[in-house]
Formats: sequence, C-alpha cells, structure tokens
Amino acid sequence: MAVNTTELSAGVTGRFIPARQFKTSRITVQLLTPLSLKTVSRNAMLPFLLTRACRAYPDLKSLNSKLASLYGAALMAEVSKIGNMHSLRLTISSIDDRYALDDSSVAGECAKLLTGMLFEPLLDGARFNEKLFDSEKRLFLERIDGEVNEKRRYAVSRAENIMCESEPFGISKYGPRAMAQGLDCGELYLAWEEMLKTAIININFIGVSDPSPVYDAFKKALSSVKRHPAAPADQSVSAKIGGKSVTERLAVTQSKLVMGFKSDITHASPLYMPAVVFCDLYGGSPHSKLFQNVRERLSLCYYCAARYNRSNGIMMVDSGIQEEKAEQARAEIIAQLDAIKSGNVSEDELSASKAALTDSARSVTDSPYALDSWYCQRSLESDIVSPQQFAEMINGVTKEQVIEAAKHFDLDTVYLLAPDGGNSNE
Amino acid sequence: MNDMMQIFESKRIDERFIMYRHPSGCTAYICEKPEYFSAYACFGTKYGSVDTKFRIKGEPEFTEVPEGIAHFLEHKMFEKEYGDVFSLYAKTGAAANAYTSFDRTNYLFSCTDKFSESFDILLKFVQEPYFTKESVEKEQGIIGQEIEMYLDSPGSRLLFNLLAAMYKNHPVRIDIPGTVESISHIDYKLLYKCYNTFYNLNNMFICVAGNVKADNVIEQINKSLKDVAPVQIERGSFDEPYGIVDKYVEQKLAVSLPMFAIGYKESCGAERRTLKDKIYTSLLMETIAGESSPLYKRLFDAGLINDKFCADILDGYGYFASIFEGESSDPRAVLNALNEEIARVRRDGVDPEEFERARRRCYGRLVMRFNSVDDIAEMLVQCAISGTMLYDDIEICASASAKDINEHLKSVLNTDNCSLSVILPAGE
Repeated sequence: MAVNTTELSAGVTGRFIPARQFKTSRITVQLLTPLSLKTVSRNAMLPFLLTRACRAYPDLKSLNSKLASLYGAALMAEVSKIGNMHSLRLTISSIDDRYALDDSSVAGECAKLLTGMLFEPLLDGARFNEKLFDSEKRLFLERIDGEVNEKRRYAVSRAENIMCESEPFGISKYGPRAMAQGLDCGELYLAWEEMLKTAIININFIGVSDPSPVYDAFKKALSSVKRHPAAPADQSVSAKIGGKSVTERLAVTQSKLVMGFKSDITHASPLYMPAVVFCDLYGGSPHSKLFQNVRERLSLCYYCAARYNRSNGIMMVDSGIQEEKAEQARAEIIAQLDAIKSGNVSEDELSASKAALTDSARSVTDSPYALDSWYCQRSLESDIVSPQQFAEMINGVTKEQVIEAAKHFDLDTVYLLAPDGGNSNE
Repeated sequence: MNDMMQIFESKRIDERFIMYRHPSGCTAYICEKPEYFSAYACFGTKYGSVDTKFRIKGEPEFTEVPEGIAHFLEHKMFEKEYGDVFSLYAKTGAAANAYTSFDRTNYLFSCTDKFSESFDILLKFVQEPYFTKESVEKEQGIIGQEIEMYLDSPGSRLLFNLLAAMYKNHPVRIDIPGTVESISHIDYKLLYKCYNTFYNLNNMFICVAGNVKADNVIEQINKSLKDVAPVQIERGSFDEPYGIVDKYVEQKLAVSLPMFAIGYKESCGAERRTLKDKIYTSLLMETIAGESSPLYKRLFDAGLINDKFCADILDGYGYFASIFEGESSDPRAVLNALNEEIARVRRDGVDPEEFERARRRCYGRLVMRFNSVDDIAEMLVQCAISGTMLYDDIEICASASAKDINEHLKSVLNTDNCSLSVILPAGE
C-alpha cells in the first residue's frame, strides 16, 4: 500500500490511502490551528455546526434524508488536541459504489456533500443562520456538560488540565463552558472564515477509486480563498513543575486515581521509540508491570494502565479503586516505575512489549478509522512513518534504551476523583 | 472438502465463509480474508449470565447458581497452575481478551503474526480448567472493582434498570457480573460444575476471520479438540409473563442531563424470534424515529432529544425488547411523542418514502460491518448462538417492503407494554 500525497493549495495536503479491502470509502478534512483560550470555544463548535446543515441541505430533515439515500452515509465531527494544536475533523463515510442497490455513485456524491458542508454553510450575510446556530449551541453545551458522564475519561482529562494549566495543552478540547455559553452566530462566522484562510488542512481519502474527483472538488472550492496558513504552535515539551495533588468529589461509587508524569521525550526525540516500548512494558498490556502487580498481585483494581502522549512527552497512569486503597495503589505505581528505572526489565517483558506493539501497528491498516487517525495524528510531522515502518522501528529498541527512557519520566500531578457520599448505589 | 464442511456465499457483497462440524459437536466458522494483515479468532460457549438454572440430561435436580458466575468463570479461565494465560500470548504478540454477555462467554485474540501459535494457546487453555480456593478469593477483589466501575456507568445502569422493569422472572434482568454479595457465594466446586456442563464441546463454537487458510485452521482444530462425550443441557424455564413489571424506574447518578431508555417488551415465549422479525422491527423503528423521520425532527427542534438518540433491539432465548434511548430534559415527553407516533403509523401506515430511506440506511449499516475482520468473526458468533445464517439479514433488508412492515407492526411496539428507565442528575 503506497500512500500518495499532493499539495492542493498553500498548506493544504491531499493524502490518498488506497484500500481495496474495505466495503466503504472515507474522506476526512482535518483543520489544525494553535490552541488558545481566545479561540478554543468557537473553533471547537465549528465542525459540529458545519456538519449539521449547509446551503444545499438547510435543515436536519433534508440533510438526513440525503444521507439515508446514500445508504446511511455517516457525517461526523471530531475535536481533539495534538499537543498545543487544536485538531478539528469533518468526516464522511459511506458504502463503496460496488455495493449500491442501484447504479448511483455514492463516493462521488459524498465528496460533493462534504465540500458543500465546509465551503457553503448556511449563512445569513456575515453570520451563521441563527436558528441553526441556536440549536447547535444547545447540543454543544450538552456535549461539554456530558463529559462528566464517562468517569474514567473525565478523570484523566481533569488531571491533564490540572497538570498542564500553564500551557495551551491544559485547555480542555471544547473550551470552558462559560465561553461556549457566550458564543454567537457572528463569532462562529469569523471562526469559519479564519479557519479556511489560516488552518493547516489535510484531506485524507481512504478508498478504492481515483482520488482526483475528490481533490478537484476541494481545489475548486479553495480557489476563491486567500490562503495564508499560520505556523504550527510551539510543540515543545511540557515543563516539569511537580508536587501537585488534587482530590475532587462527585456522586460516584468507585474512586479514580490518575497520576500524571512528565518527560522531555516527544516523537522528535532519539528516545521516542524506546519511550513507546517503555510505556507498554510499564502499563500497556496484560503482561505489563502495572497489570501484573496492581491488579493481579494486589487485587486493587480491575484496570491500571499507562498512556504516553507523543506530542508533549506526558504519560498518564489511571486506575479505578476504592478510596481507602488509593495510597497503596499510588505507592505501587511509583514502585513499579522505580523498578524499571533501576534496570528490573526482563528479556521476556521486553520481547512481549515489542511483539504487542508491532502487532497493533500492523493491524492499523485493517481499519479505515485507525488509518485515518494514524495520519491525522501525525499530519504536522515532517517525516510521517507508516504503520509498517513503525512496526519495524519498534524491533530495533534495546533494553538499555528502555531503561534510559524510563529515567526521563517524573511524577508531576496526582489526581483523585472520589465519592462525595451522596451516591444512591450505596 | 468433506461432508462436514459447507461453503456459504453472498454474491451481492462478495463475501464467503466455511462452516465445519467437528465430531464433538463443536462448530467452526471460518472466513478467509487474505487482503487483510490481521486475523481474529475466538472460542466460545453458549453460556452467559442468563444460565442461572440448569441440569445435564439425566440428573435428578436442577442446579441454581449465584448471579455473575459465568463472568467469574471467564476471569478464572485465564489462571493456570503454570501462571496466567496472558504470559503465553505475550510471546506471540497477540492481543487477547474475553467477554461474557447474556447468552455467551467468548475467548478471543487478534494478531498479525504467529496465528497458529496463538490459536494453539486459545484452543488449549479453554479446554483446561484450573480453579483453586485461593485463586477464587483473589478474583473477588478484582471483580468487585469491575462491578463498582459499572455501578458508576450511567449507560449500564440505564439498561439494567430498564430490563428489571420489563422482565419479572427471566434472568436477562440481572447484572452480567452479579453483585459483590452474589459473587461471595462462588467457590471452586461450583465453577467446576458450571464448566463441566457448559464447556462441553457440543455446546461450543469457534469463529475465525482474517488472514488465515481454512485448511490449516481445520487441521489445528482436529488436532487440538479433546475427545469428550457430548452432554445434553437442560435449561430451567422462567415462566415470563407478557406484561412488564414497572412502567417507570429512575436512579440518580453523576450525569449532566437526564438519560432515558424506552423499552417495548415484545411477545417471545421460551424460544427466540426469527431474524426476519428482528430486521422488520429494526426497519420499523428506523422508519418511525430514524434521523430523517418527522418525529425525530419534531423532538430535535423542540430541544427534547440530541444526537445521542438511537434505537436498538436486545434479543435472545426468551426475550425480545425494542429499545429507544437518549438524553432529554423531559423523558416523559419523549415517551408520549413516541407512543403517539407509533399509534399514528399503526393507523395510517408507514410513509413509503420514509420507509425507503430507513431501508437504505439499514442496508448500508449491514454492509459496512464487513469492513472489519473482528466484526465478521463476531457476526459468525451471533450465527452460532442464534442458528441464523450470515448474509440473511442483508437479503431480508434488501427485499423488505412497506407492506411487510405495516403488517409486522400489528405484532410489535405495543404502547401499553413499555417501560421507561431514567437516570437523573444527582443532587436534583
């Protein structure tokens, strides 16, 4: 599989990822812009607003009817952070033409629809249609409020915000609720205009057919835009401060312990691949130190896992436990990191982590979503490695390098989400 | 190719798989996908949380077991005299896991390399129980935390509260992992009893999809499956009435907006309803309340639902529920609007254009599942459990008509036989 990239306009890259095996084709437009408190809310709301209606399909009913006629084509918006950059994704995915019940060109129609959503939104002069905006604002606020529903994810994201409060990465991806509350339809228009001019744009196309109709549609739409893409935000590592410990209380039964570590190793560092192996060996797989000790040996939890962020070098360890066991779990999590730092890594552990990581990298190619995400997460990097290359690079990592990488990680923040005593389960 | 093997094919979506019956009664389903890197394999048993009362044919009495034991057994299968099974998979690089649901326990792995080594581990460990007093006690701490995790999961509470409001006696109403109290009654002897009943090969299945050769897979199965006499399992009956238990149930949790699930309890008996019933019900739910329907637009514009609103069916032996769920500031208003729309469609018939959109949406979704080897293997598991054939749902959907589903509506979505489950924000 050869991935083919083309520059469509200044700062706009088209990426064709040929994949015959899938029943679907998938197009994603990724807009990248520096994270800042000033623009985070309006930018975060934008992809949701844009995928709700457009000039050709001005309301929910007409758009959803169109999508249904395209065999349930799915239009999706996704917002995330890549280090200090804000990533906004608009995606359309549909069955491939080969499986249509009639002769319609589903993929071509989808490309047209997606460009329409991005370049021809439903406007009233220099503002978004107010009715559409108000309805989407309600959903956006509900989305922000709903973050608390999934306790595991909520606890990790609270811990990240606290740990990185003095840098852009510490801003939550949807921005503060109060700012979302204050948004209006004129401001979103400005955000849209600004985004088309200045965002770094990537278009991923995963499918069978020739990508040129998709590219041509985007080129045509972009020809009327004066592009001057902004430089990517400073992606330097998160500064080590340390010593923070925060407990928050909520109506829950189980406590969530999150421990945030900082390192100076990012994807650009020589120790990057060793850090990836280290994180798996520490808390990535069932054979890892954390699973084997915090769960299996001490029976403290059902899950205890470590996740490493290649953009800024941080690593988050999280576990669901009883509040009175938090101290014991914290001590064990530290003890296991110290064990690796002092060289307690067996050849079996090392080869198990390398095998697990190469296996999971190779399987990226088998899922359109995983492939799309792989390239979106790396789109700002100068040399983008394919999943296959990544798998090969993992194999070169040595035990000494893993121990060396571990020594770069220091505890910064301990966060505990604990019961407030008011839960109806108790 | 021999008479124990059969090939099934769908020309419409260019797919095929092989079914192989092993002499033990275990059935294997294999889908070759040479254009993928990975393969997904699973070895499972038709044994889940609903199997709380059973006996082997010939035994005088039924055995009743604590709630959550099937799931507990699944955890304990990974522990052996030599250590844990993950340490074996660690050598091959496969990602291994297992899950227990209402009607199955399934052990699985996916990999891109060393398939036969990993498959060998899977086939062996599921056939080798090893339970001790100490290891059972150790697991009670781990599963206790898993149970507490689910007590904080609003989606899980929403569903199980709904099922308890709909079902009086059928064990689909109980939580799959049981409770901290119920699992305290589990001991290693009970685990062996359940294992020896349900992990008989005659009650089991193997499903493989991905970058494999069917001949090699079958050869490995023939070498690894033990020669055991088949047992006949008799499951206890539960005498489930048609009517629901409670019209309304609520719980408070840390959520931002009330969550709701509306469940229509469909008639079922002790068996399961047909695949056609399931697809037709699905098409009806899509036509009545799908994203392009007038009802969806009304509720959305009134601020009564958001984009989390969706419909699903939960079915198995002795239960069939049509469920709508979402978030709303006023769940009762959603229930009333839905019931009114069902009554209207029952009176006037479905709008043919809306039906056509629902049909295309359902068809597209069914086809899209064939993107993933994991999903294909899990669809084969569903076939093994329910006795249906892969691709049949696509054909039923492709040939369904508005007339068919108008007729079908006479027998489902009874607005007098539904329950509303609500999760309210704590502190309100």
